[in-house]
Formats: sequence, structure tokens, C-alpha cells
Amino acid sequence: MSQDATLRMFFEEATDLVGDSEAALLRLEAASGEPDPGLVNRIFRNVHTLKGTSAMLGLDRLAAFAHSLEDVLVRMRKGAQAITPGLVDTLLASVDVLRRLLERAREGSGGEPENLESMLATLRALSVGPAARGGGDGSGTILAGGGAGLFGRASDDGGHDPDHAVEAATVRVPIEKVDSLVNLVGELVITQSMIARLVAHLGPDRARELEEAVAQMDRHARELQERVMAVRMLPIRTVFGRFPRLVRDLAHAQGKQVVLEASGEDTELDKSVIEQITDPLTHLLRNAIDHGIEPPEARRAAGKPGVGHLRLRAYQEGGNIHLEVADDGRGLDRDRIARKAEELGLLTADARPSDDEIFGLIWEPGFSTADTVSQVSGRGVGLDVVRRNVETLGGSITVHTERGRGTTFDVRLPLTLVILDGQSLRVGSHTYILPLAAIVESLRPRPGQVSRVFTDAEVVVVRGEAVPMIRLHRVFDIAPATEDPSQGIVVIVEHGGRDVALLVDELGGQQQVVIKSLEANFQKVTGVAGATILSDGGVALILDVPGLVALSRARPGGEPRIVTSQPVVSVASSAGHSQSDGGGRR
Amino acid sequence: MKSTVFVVEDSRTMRALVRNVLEGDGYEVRESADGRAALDLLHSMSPDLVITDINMPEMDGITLVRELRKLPALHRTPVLILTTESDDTVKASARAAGATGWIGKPFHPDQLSQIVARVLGRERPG
Repeated sequence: MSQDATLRMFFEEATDLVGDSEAALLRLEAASGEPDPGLVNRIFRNVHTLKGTSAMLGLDRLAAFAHSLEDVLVRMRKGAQAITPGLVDTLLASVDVLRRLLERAREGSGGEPENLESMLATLRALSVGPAARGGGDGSGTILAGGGAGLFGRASDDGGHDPDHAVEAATVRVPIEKVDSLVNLVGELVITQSMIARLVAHLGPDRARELEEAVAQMDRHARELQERVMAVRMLPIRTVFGRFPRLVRDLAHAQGKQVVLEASGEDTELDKSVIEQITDPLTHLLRNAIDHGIEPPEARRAAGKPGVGHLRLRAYQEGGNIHLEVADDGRGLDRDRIARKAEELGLLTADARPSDDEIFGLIWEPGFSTADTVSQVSGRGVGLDVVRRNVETLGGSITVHTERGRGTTFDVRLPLTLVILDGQSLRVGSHTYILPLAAIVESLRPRPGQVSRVFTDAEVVVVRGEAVPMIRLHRVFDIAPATEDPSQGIVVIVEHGGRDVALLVDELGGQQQVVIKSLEANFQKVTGVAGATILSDGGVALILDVPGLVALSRARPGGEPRIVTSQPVVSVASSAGHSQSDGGGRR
Repeated sequence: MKSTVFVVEDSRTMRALVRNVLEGDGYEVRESADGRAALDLLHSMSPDLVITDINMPEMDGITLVRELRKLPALHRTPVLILTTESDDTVKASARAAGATGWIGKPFHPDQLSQIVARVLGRERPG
């Protein structure tokens, strides 16, 4: 193992140790009446390990600081130091210093955290006592090196059995390796469906046996795919773990009392989803503390307990993961939202909007009803950004609120970003894939069911509702089989509570497709989420429903064209069929 | 036949550091992250040397040494403890439990190489 790899492992482990110590400290604080000696031990062990490994790697400042912290923990362990709120604050601040020292060591940047010296002094003062080791100055003893020796007693060799495998509980694998596996398995699934297609056109003599073999391969390939995908999955615990501290600090800063309850931490999500969901969740939690949960007096005045509850829940339902952030605060204020909306010109004074319409306004860019800008919220990042981030992940977010009882945000995310249940569509000679989950219905319009509302905006009237219609062939600038809607099919898709009708020539079959990102090779294209290789070797673009809905809203009815001169001719693929007739133009 | 060293240490960084040195010296290295898990594994294997950390979550190193000494197959297998404690009481209790020697953290790779060679060389060529 190279020095680099060892260091990388050290930083990973050290980050875990610091995070675990922080979590244990917060639990220690929560159980202030009866401190759990197990928690103190856990923190001690973490800091002790950190000290040992950082000293081995020559990270002296880190080792010295960990040593000073350890001295205090030793006193706590022996019961010589009482666990007071002030002490927990100091220890949490020490955890922050450890984190900053780690960051600096990782970046290789010089300088030390500005409060390092004062924190060291505080820790040394705390560790001075009859139980203190080495007179309090830790750096000398720890960095001197331990030496090695024998206790001077002969010891004979033991038996000599054959080796037995030692099973490791966990394996850390670089994400690139897993990604290449995921890609390969995706290719395998595609190859398998190609063979299945060939078999379908084979003569009857040997076809049956071959068919059975292919069916078996199908099962194995899919199982393999599931297993490989599972390697990319991480428990949401890694995200939830950072929230207790955040909630504590925010609540303290605002003089609020908040208890955070998390459940479903073992729910697993794709690694890339985990990374991208952290910011939106953080924002929702901050929102709940800033705007939802009231100060203790206000809560008691409203007949509620002074301590607010914040519930963070993760669970799987069908092909989706739900992440819920629920507070028992004041709920969304309908009147205030309406007033703000009037100010912003989103609502006319005489409008009579429904509750849903009012609460839907919180997702508008720049919308915030916060009267005062607190330290953490009101930095220009609104719920519109949260929603955009969630939608980028192929998810959606909804809000339920009850005046005086609280607000719940429900984030729904796809289980995996790599495989999609799709519906194929034909437009002219091109095939497109539409995520099955976005489809509300599809129908062939009767003559007259489609009408022109403005100069070039078209709607299709479905059960009395006018749904804006997009002619897909215009978006992609290709020749359709027919211009007449009553000869084609409209597929109605829904996103964020809005319906849009897509006019296509005909519907194809439903199939699972492996998403290939186009962004690695091309710039991001509105309306296109990626591409996939079909079982006949052709390439199809996967339509991005949020993007299409946004397009229809930007210019109702008038399909803005996605025009470029170069057709998409290849998608990175190792299956030997990267060339195709093209899934369209971008 | 290579000598096998069994390393018990809850820090994966420290395990990797020890493994690097020992594999570089031509030993076969097996490892475990905790005393309890190590004890379970050691019921069915007989390494030539055990190196164990002291502070570990489920079972500490001293207890592990004591338990190993109760197993007939490991009754006489050399055990080195890895310790950062400059405090001699840890070394004393390790010795009382039946440990063979100690390695102080932080150690230089050569120190580890030398003491392992000494312990194994004394019994049998590594």
C-alpha cells in the first residue's frame, strides 16, 4: 500500500472517529443527569486511536492535540472530572479543532486553527489534577516514540495448522471500481436482451432450449445487476449523523429547545444521491428551526410543550425512498404567504387561491417570508433551490402543513439513478424513452380535441382540463410521421403538480433501461436526461420530464427548439455498437 | 512456509501500517478489528505470532491475551501488545496476562521488524 493510500485511509478513518465522538458527546449531553460511562469510553477510544495513528504518520500537531484531549477524557473516565454542560461545550469545540486540523493536514496547508493554542490551554487546565499524566504537556511524551521490548520470558511456538481465511466485515472499494462494474453489468443486460431478441427470430428446432438458456441468463444478469448496484448503496446514516450537532447549535443560537428524532437510518441510497441530498436536507432542517419551531414561551402560550420536536425519517416505498422532515412548529402562515405573494406580484389582490395554490408559492424563486434574516437562513438560498436539487436527482418534494401543528416536507427519491423503468416512444424514425413513473395517461386525441389558444400555443382538452401540448418533433427538430394530432398519440406527463401533453407518433414497449449520462461527452441538454442503448443496438434519448415541463412553462405552447448542428451519433459504450442511426439531435 | 502474524487492532490505518511492514518482511498477515472477533477466529487457526492493540471496543487486548492463554493451541504462541501507554501499569498487566513483549506507538517500521524477527527467530526461522 502506498503512503498516499495509507494517508487516504487515515483521513477516512479519522473523519469517522471525529464524527462518532461528536455523536457520542451529543448523547452524553442529552443524558446529562446520568452520564453513560460507555459513551465516555467510546470517545476516549476514538481520540486514543486518532492520537496513535496520527503520531505514526507524523501528523504531530494533530497527535499533540488529541493527546491533550485524551488527558481530559482519562479524568472523565476515572470520574475525576464532572460532566458539566460547560465541559461538553469545550469537548465539542475540541472536536471542531480536530476536524480543522484534519482538514489542514489533508490539504497540506500550513497554519493552524486560530483557536488551537487557547483550546490547548483550556484542555491542559482541565487535565491538571492528581490524575494527570506527564505533567500536562502532552506533546513531548507522545511524540517521543515508544520503542519495543520483550518481557524476558521464553515462549515456545504454538501449533502449526493450515491457514484459515479471515473474513473482513467490510471492504472499502474505490468508487471508480464499482462504477466500472455497474457499467459492465449494464452492458451485460443489454447484450442479454439483444440475444433474447435474436432468439425470438430463430427457427423452431433449437429455439426452445436456447430460449430457456437465455431466460436463465436473464435472471442471473438481473440478479448480478441488483447485487452490483447494492455495492454503491450507503445507509442514510452517513447524512443523518451530522444533523444532531447542526440542530443543537442552531437551536442554542436562537434560544429554542429542539429535540431531533431520526429514524430509518439504515435505509440505503445510491452514493451519488447521498452526496447530493445532504444540502437540501440541511436546508429543510434549518428552515424548520428558523421558521417552524417557535421559542419555548410562544409554544407554551399555544398550549404546546416548550421543547420542539423535529422528526427526520427515511423509508422505502416501492421504487422510491422517502425522506421526511417534520416539525411540530407553527405551520405555514397562509396570510403571510399571500401578502408576500402580492408584494412579489405572484398573486393579484382580488385572487381567491386555494390552500394548495398558496402553499405552492413557497417553491417560487426568491420567495421567503422570513421577516428577519438570521445567521443561517436568508442567504438567498430558498426552497426553490431545494426543489431544483431534488428534481435534479429525479425526485420530487411535497409539503403538508397544519396551522399551529407543524409542517412536513416529504422528499421522494428514486431508488437508483442508473436504471429506469421506461416507456419507449416513436417520433419519425427516432425512439425516445420516457420514465414510466412520470406518465399519467396516453390517448389518441379526437379531431378538435386539440386547440390553439394563443398565437402558437396548443392545448389538448382532457375531461374539461386544458393541458398544454408540446410537439416533441418540434423540440428535437425532426420529421414526424404525422403532423395531425388525431393521427398520433399524446402522452400526458406530470411533474411538480403540472401536466404537460407530449405529442408523439406512437408508443413502443416498456423496458428497463440503463441510463448513460450524456454530460460526460456533451454539455447538458434541457429536456434530455441521458441516453440508453436499446436491445436492437440503437441509441435512444431519455426524456427529462422536469426539463420538458419547465420548457412548456417558459413559453406556453410554443415548443422552444433544442437546436444544434451535430446529431448524437455515439454514446460511450464498450458493447461494440456505439454507432447507430442516432437517437435524435441534441 | 511463511510465518503468519495475526494483528488485532481497531484502527484500520494502524492495521494497514503494521501489515505494510510485516508483509514487506515476508510474513503472512491476518487481521481482526476487535479482541472478541479475534478470539473467535483464533479458535480455528494458529498463527506464529499475535500482535494486539490494548484499547478496543468489544474486548480489550489484555483480556484477549488472558483468553488466548486458555486455548491449548495458543497456549505458547508469542503475543506482542501495541500500546501508547507510557504508563508501566499497562505493560505490567499485559505481562501478568501472559504477553511476550510490547511495541510502543508510535513506532518506527524498523523497530517493528526487529522485534517480530527476534520473537519469531527465537522460536524458529521466519
